[in-house]
Amino acid sequence: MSEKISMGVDVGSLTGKAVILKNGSILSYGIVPTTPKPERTARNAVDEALKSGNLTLEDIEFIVGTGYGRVKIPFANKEISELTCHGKGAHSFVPTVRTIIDVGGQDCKVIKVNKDGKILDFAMNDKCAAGTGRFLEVMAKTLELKLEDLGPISLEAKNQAKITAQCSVFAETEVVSLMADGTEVKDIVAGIHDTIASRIMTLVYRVGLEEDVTISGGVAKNIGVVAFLENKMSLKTKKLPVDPQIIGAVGAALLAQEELESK
Amino acid sequence: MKKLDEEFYQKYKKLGRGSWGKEFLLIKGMYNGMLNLMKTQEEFIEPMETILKIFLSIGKARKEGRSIIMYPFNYGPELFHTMNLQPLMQELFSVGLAPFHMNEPYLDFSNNVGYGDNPTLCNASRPLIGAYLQGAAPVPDLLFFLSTPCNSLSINYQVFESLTGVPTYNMDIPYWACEQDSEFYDPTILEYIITQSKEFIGWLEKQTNQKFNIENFQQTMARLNEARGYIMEFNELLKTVPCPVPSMTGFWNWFFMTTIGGTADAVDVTKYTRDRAAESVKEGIGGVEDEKIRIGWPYTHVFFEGPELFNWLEETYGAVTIMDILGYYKVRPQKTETLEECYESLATGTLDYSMIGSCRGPVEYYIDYVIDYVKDYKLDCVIYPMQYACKHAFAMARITSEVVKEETGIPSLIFGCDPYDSREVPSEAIRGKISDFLTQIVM
Amino acid sequence: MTVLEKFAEALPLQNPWIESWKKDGKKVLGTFCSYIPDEIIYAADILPIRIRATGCTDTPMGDAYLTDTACSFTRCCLEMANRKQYNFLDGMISCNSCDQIRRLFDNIRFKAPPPFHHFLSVPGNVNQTTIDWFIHELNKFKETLEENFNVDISDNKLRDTIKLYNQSRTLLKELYLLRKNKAPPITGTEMMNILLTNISIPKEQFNELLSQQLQEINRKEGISDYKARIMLAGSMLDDPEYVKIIEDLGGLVVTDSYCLGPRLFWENVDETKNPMDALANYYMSRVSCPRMAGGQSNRVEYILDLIKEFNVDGVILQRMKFCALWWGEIFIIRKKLKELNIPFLDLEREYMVSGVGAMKTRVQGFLEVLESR
Repeated sequence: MSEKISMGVDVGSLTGKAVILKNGSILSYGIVPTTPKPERTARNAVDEALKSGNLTLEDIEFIVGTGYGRVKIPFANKEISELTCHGKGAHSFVPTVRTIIDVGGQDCKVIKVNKDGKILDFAMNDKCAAGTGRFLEVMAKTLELKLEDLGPISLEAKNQAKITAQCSVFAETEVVSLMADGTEVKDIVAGIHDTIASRIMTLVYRVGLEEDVTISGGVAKNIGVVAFLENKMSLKTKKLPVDPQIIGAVGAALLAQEELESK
Repeated sequence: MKKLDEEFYQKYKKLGRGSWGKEFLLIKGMYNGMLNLMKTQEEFIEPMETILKIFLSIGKARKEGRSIIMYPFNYGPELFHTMNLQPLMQELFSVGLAPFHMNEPYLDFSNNVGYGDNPTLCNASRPLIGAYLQGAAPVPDLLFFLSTPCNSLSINYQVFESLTGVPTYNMDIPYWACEQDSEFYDPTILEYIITQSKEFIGWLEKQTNQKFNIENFQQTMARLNEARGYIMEFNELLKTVPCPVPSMTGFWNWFFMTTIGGTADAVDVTKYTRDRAAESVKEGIGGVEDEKIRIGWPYTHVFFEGPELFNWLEETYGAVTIMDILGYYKVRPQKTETLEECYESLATGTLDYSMIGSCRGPVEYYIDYVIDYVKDYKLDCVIYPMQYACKHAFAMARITSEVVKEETGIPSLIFGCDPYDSREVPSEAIRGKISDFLTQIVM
Repeated sequence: MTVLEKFAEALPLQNPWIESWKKDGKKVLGTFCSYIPDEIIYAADILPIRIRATGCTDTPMGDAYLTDTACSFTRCCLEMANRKQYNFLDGMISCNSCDQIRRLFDNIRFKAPPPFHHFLSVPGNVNQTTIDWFIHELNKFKETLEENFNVDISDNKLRDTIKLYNQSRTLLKELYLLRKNKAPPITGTEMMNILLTNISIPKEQFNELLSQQLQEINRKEGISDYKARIMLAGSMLDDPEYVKIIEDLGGLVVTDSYCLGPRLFWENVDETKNPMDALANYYMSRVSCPRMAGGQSNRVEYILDLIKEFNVDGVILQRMKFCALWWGEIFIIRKKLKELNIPFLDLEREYMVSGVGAMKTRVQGFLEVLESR
């Protein structure tokens, strides 16, 4: 009887992820920066996961590929949308989850799942940077702060500034003039976090908020965004026990495992 | 001329007190907003008092047993006043709320439920849906709208009809002109509007279970045209250099005609504005101290600015903004002696109305409108403050400015913004553009 | 060449049929809207074709004059007009379908005027008074054509043309209804090619092709390897590529509701009435598009009927970015579908197919939602 070894590969806009499952548990995973060639990104992520799992590609029995724009991953056996994969992944860690918020570098999605982790509905935004990691990156640069410091700083604010511009391009200008006016940096950072949380909430309203809620994607590591979202939703989200960036790849690997089990 | 005193203020404070009902919460907000604004004003107290009375009338409609009919900003309420219905102009929920920034939460709510996104749908119509879905808007007894000038209005009323099930009537306003010397002349158009108006009256009779009183109608039309007479005189006086009244005074003529046109109050308030202008002309004084620039503004206010933008223009550049597209519309002499003349007056009035006359047909109507505006009012420049979501207007601005430049040599500034949402293109950006234009090109 | 391949030949703006028509010295007029009765034009022995902006890639002039918040279809058309790509037309006919179309026509008249143009003022609602007005407009239109092209459009000619167009409608409906089958004989992409040919070539030749197609289809095996039966509804769509993206992912488009779709041929013009009356009544009273006030509940009912008749699993609603009419309409359609628990996907698009990656993600996600039901 084979020890079911499956793999999920998620090629995103900023990072590529690969997760290897052995009999349902995570054996190893890899996160790499995206290259201009998606096949290369996929290969890099896979190589890193294989290395830390001490395996070769031939050991993997089924591979599911996912990620932005249905990128062609040549060695994948099947391609499933990142929506289903994220839903599956989050649900596998938190079976009570019903609303999954995933905020990536360049897009943002909210996925509604049922008790079995199957997706019921979704809302996506990948045309506007205002609700994504890109927004935070731009702001960090404008404020001359480190990206990873933004979250904690936002929670220190006593007098949150109001960022009124709806477009991140105009918001940048607004931040510059707030700084010139002498507004405290932490208050500006709080205002920025409020804006990003508002944009994400628009998508949440579109699918309907239902507990439990999880937040995944690179931006989930920002405790400020999480706090602002929890405030707006008046609830505490359920934390995911792994790096929130790999949730999609985990879901893909689980779906690959299901393919093996059905054979 | 009345001045605001404590007695007046307390009287209206008292009148506005008490519950107006949840559905009129926003109207009450506008009432109180207006009352507070009046405290800072030194003149135009009578017209502002009239505005307060309009809001009070809306608030009391249910208690006083008047059916509420909701209709758009470019149709006169004369038929409604004839039949003692309560007119509720839909744009109060955008134009009326924007200066107090009270519409923005409803725009956001609309966005969240997936209705609209700038700049697809015009924000003149959207707050109503947002407010309605939150139970903060009145559900009228009747809905009425025209097929022009735009799609946003049409689909917004259709959506509102689908959501509320309120009996709705639509009137078709065709593309063609009723003037014989126009290249777009169609001889049947006036009759078409008269027929539809009579059918509309029949529908109103059925819906409200009352008979259309011909005598009332003739008296209402007579008053309406008396008010129009004052507006015509006012428009003439506006041509004087210097402009005898402050910027955009004529805007209020549109507001009153579209809410209380046909009533005695409308006659009083249009006479007031005419008298005010006439007095200034007699004394040779201008509405702006040391008028240097005369600006044409052939579109709507940037509503979220309230009067601030024009005050800034006056103070900074001595620039008077003569009028906007709502205040400046074709007003022609009307006859109302016979019933037939009354119906004809109703029809031409419908075709000429603000934005309908200039925007319902080919771009030539708008171009002629702007060229007449430039020539008659001796303008130095034209500013087109176009709304991104207003497709029918924004797509005319460039051609119009080109033809105007060719024919009159007058320069234009075209810029895009959202007049109802201060967060889209902020105040500073708008003032920056206007500053650059005035200082580099006009002065 | 199969008949289906022959239909695909009509896709470019200047197709071989038009070239052949012009070689015979005959005229071609471009129309902008389905409310313009083609029968009146064809009765004058002039070929009416629906104007498309196929092949447009960028719109600098369109952006400058119509602004970049106008719908991309109109911007593309203005661009094409400016680049003289509509010069093969002997004129253009437009109407007040929507703000953007209306202003497009204004800008074209000023910037790239065609040799002949005419505008129809189509009423914004349907009742006897407005239908009478439309008859008046159609008579004006007929007289203008007669004067300008030195032709006579007699009642008999109109009757014959109406009969011919009705034949098209009957044949199209016959073909269309076959998509109800569990294994439909044609894909949505193929149907769109046929619908595009319907608006681009002379009717006699179209009817011939269509009859051939119907014969061939009876010998054809149906399509059964699909993941879900999809209805496609929304804004004017004339790019088969868009439908292909959905179908390549496994969603077979079995029915549709958009400008070129079944509303054009679900019913026939009344051949017993006086032709102008019949045309006015027909064009005004058939299933409307969102520009028509008072028609919203009809339009939604129509979509629900099609969903039932064609056994649809899910609806893909698409609207052109910046289209106010379809945004409002889809808001109500969505509400109704949600009430009835019919799954739908709401997509925004530009006139030319773009953002393919993002579209594929959403469509695939949607198909997976349907699979899990």
